[in-house]
Formats: sequence, structure tokens, C-alpha cells
Amino acid sequence: MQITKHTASNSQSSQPESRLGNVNKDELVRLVLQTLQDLDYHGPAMMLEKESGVTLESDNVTSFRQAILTGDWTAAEALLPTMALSKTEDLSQAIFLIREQRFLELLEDRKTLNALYSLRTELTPLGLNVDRIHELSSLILCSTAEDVKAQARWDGAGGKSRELLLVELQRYILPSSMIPKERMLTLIDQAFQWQRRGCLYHNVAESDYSLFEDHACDKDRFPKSTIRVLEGHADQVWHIAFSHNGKYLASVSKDKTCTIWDISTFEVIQVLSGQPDSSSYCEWSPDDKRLLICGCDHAMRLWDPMTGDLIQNFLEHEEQVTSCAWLPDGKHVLSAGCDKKICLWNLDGTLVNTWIVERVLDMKLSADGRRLVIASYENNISVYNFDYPNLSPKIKESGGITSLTLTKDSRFALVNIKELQEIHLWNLEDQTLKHKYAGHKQGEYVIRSTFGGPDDSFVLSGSEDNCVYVWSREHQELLEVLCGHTDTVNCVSWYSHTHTMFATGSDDGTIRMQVYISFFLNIYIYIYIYNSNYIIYLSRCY
Amino acid sequence: MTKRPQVYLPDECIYSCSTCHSHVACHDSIISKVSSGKHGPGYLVDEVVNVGMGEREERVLPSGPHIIADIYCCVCHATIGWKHIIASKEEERYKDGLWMIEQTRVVKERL
Repeated sequence: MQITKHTASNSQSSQPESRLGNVNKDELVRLVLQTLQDLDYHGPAMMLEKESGVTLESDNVTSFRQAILTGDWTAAEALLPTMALSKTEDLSQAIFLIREQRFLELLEDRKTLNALYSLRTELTPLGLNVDRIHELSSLILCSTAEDVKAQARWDGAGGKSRELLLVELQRYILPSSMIPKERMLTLIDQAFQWQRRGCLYHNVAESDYSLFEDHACDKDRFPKSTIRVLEGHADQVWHIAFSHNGKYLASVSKDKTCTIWDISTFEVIQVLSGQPDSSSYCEWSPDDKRLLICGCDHAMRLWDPMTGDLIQNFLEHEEQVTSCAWLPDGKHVLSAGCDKKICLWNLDGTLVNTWIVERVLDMKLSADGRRLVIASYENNISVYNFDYPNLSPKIKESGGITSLTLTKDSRFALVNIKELQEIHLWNLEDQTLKHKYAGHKQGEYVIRSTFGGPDDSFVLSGSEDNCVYVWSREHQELLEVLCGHTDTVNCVSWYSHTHTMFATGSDDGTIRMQVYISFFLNIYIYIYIYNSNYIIYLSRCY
Repeated sequence: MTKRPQVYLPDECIYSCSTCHSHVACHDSIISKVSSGKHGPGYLVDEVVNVGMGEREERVLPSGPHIIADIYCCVCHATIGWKHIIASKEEERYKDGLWMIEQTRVVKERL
């Protein structure tokens, strides 16, 4: 370790104990010095240097840093061999980087002949990165500085490129001689990440971490209380979906209707009826102006949720349509059914394309529209990537799949397995099983699960024992079992807007809205309900 | 679909309900063709899917008295045939536990 020590007699570096717990004292002092300088407290930094006898970095390193930031390339190259490098062969790599920056800056200044000279005599003899040298030589043909910058993806001497160069060179230099930039903040970020991972009930989008105490979300802030029971369906509720703007909830039921509820008042806005058979799935358009409903009668229908008009029928499937998806442009839709077909439609009802796959039980499109994940009747999870159509990895599941959900970043898929009574979380990128969640009951029926929480940190599922089960996604631990329904809970949907809430639909024909209510408010509600039968206005109290 | 997701048979030659085309039995599970169906000939099969069973009752079939239970399609609730539970005559005992599906109620499909 390179530390410059003062020869003053009152230097602290001669103390016998050089560790504070697990931390080396000298390293700690140097980090504090770096932080003080980053915060622009140069006076205190100098005093600390004087009193502790430890300097942040040796003079060589300071001059090297100065040389890079001011563009003094010859000085920088001269200083390089004096710095402690991680590996000796890295010296030529580091020199290459410096000379590359010099070349690009010469091109920016339109000193093309000098640049060419530098390429020939300085870069090429190093014998490294031949491809990069070819790229650089093609840049000579650029006519303007902006062209150079655009083609090389380099933002010029005036931009951040010199600092970026320093960061690159950092890789070759021992961190103990030149401390990486903002090292203290990096360490603190790592601590926050660790705290975040340990937080079981993590439920806040932007955590305000404090340096003084460990972060832990309050367990009681999880939405556990039923604020409202939405009744209106005559038969089992099979699917519920919140609209993207968070104002409405659509629910499809075995009674052959679909009801649209207003979330702010919990009133029925519209009932879409007239379908010949019950529907099993619905999906809001990206702008929430249209609703697609998939039916058991082999057809998919497009409705206007506000007026209740049927806009379009999509009749192509020969078996029940189990799932649908909107493309992000809002103008095309995909439908999939048990007849082994996936159809791509225009909104006006014309069929664009059909693909033959396995019998589809559930289908989800990733948020960017590039990846299609299908859970099939043959217990396979297939991933179709539109960018790489030839690579279609297939995950073989060990039991009947009843539902498929994707995380917000579309990297993980959650499937409910009927026979095993488990929920599996798969990593779609390397097709590995990441987590398993068990405890709920599922044997015969189609039960759906979903993610909840701002980072998809919760896994929620319905169950055949009339309760809703909530697990922590990372820890696989069962957090809550919420009862209240009187029959199998079919589907759960998480509301991700102003307040934390989720809704559950069940075979008893009702939908329950679960929210977080503080302890005192709970008592107030109890008294109020005792006196009257209305609990509608209390939905605003939290 | 809650209430038992619909089963699809993987075979190539199957019989499905004539009303709603949900799969009922595959060709390989036919034991024999019988002529004692309620409305005509039928098939004796050893495995059916997507069917529900009704009440047990004693009925006199052309082949003798039997205890049977009617079966119906889970999706459209149309009667498809019956299940043999116990036969009174000794030579009919081989039918116990097997299903009889009527030819008029099912459609043969090739997938």
C-alpha cells in the first residue's frame, strides 16, 4: 500500500493498533479525506491530513489525475510506469487508452494529419485491439467534429470523456494507490442494498434510507383490511383487472357479463352484457379506452368500457380463447386459445397473422412487446423472442399450469402449478427455477397469482380454501393469509397507484378491496359501521 | 376456468361431445361397440374426460338389470351416456367400472 507518511513526531501512523474493528484505520482516514474533498471541505481535509499523517494519494497519482483531466498526454504517459499497476501487462493497455483519447481529441480539433501520424506511429505499434484500430482509422474519413463524436460515441474533450478515461484507467491501477471515485458512497449504497434485501415487507417505491438506522418497512402497513366488498355479479368472478390509469376495475364472471367499477366511489359504471357464454379473461388497452374480453365461446370481443358498446368480434379460434394481449402500440392485439393457435389482429377485425403453437392456457407479452411467454396445456413455458425468432427456450414444468404472470421487467415468470400446490418463479433468461411458494391450496380449479408491491416484492395468490396468500418474493416466506371470502379465491390484482391496495375475486361472486388502515382508524371504522351501514367515504381516509 | 379446467386429449383420433366439441374419449380407449344404448349403438370405453356423473340408479338394459349412473358433458351439460357400476348378471360383470358413450351424442374427430 502506498501511503506517504509525514516525518513529524506527532504522527499517528506509528500507533500500534491500526484496525478499528474490521476496518483498517489508514484506509478509513483516506476514505474520509476523499469524502471531505468531494464535499468541498478542503480546509478540514488538509487539517486531517496534517494531524493523521495520512495523505489521500501520493503526489504521482495527483499529478497523473491532473494530467489526464487537463489533456497533458505526454506527462500522463510518463507517469504511468511509476504508478502501481494491477498487472504489468496492463501498462500497454493503459497507454493504448491514453493514446486513443489523444487521437480522438486531435480529430475533434480537425488536426487530421496529426491524428493520422499518431495512429500510425503511436497506436498501431502497440499491437493491441486491432479491431478498435480499424474503427478509429475509419473515423479519419469523417468530415466534421460532430460526425466523429457521433460515430465514435464519444462526447468530446469538453464533455465527460476525460473523466470516463480516468475511470477506465482506474481498472488497471491498484485501488489502494488511486482510490476509485466516490468510494464511500459506493460502500454505503451496498449497505442500503443489503438492508433492502432483508426487508420482508418492502412496500415503498423510493425508500428514504437513513444512515442512522437499518431500513425495514413496517409490517402493519401491508394492506390487510377489507375496505369494500363489491357485489353485483350473479355467479363466480373469474378475472379482475385494474385499468392502467388506476381509475377503473373490470371484472369478468361466469354469469356472462363484465362489470366496470369506478375505484374512487366503488360504484358500477357499466355492465357489458350480451355475450353468449362466460368469459375467462379481460385486458385493458394501453390507453384504457377499450377492453378486450376472451370468451369460452371461441371468440374474443372488443368493447368500449364507458359506453358499453360492443365494437368488434374476433372470430377465428375453434376452441375457447384463453388469453389476449395488447401490443404496446395499442393498434394490434394477440389472441391465443386452446386450439393451438395464436392470432395477431388489427383493431378493425382483420387477421394479420397466425402461428401454430401448443394449446395455450395463458399468454403474456413483455412490456416492450419483444417477448411473448406462453404457458401451455402440455405443461411447458415457452418464450418467443421477436428479436431472435430461432431461439425459443422451453421450460418443462412438472404439473398442470393454471396461471402465468410476468414481472414488470419481464425477466421472471410466475406460474401456479395445480398438482403440486406450489407457485414457481422462473428466471426466463437462463431458464432456472428461482423460488417456490407453497402453503395455499390448489387442486382442481384455475387459480391465478400475481405480483404486488412497487418492485414486485410480493407474490399474491388465490386459493381453494377461501383465503388470499401473500409471500415475500425474495425470501419465499409466507407473510399473510387473509380470509374473508366464502368460496375459492380465483384471482388477485394489485393496484399500483396512489395508495396501496389490492382486489380479489372469488367464486362467491364478490370482489374484495384490501387496503392498509392504521390501527386507530380501524377502531373508528368499527364504531362507525356499528352505527350505520356505510363505509364508502372511509376509502379516502388513509 | 374455475370448476375444473377443460381437459384436452393428446391423441390424434378422439371423440368429442356433439354439442360443444369438448373432448370426451380417445379412440384407443374403446373396448367394444355395443348396441344396447338408450338411443341406439354406443361405445364401451375405459377412460373418459370432461364428464360429470349423475345419481346411481337401477335400470333394465337389453342385456339385463344394471346399476348405472348417467354421465353428462362438463361444459354443456348434455347427457352423453352412462357409467356401469354393478351388473346383476354374472356374464355382464366385465362391464363394471366402464363407461358407455352413445354414438349419437359424440362426434369422431381427427386432430
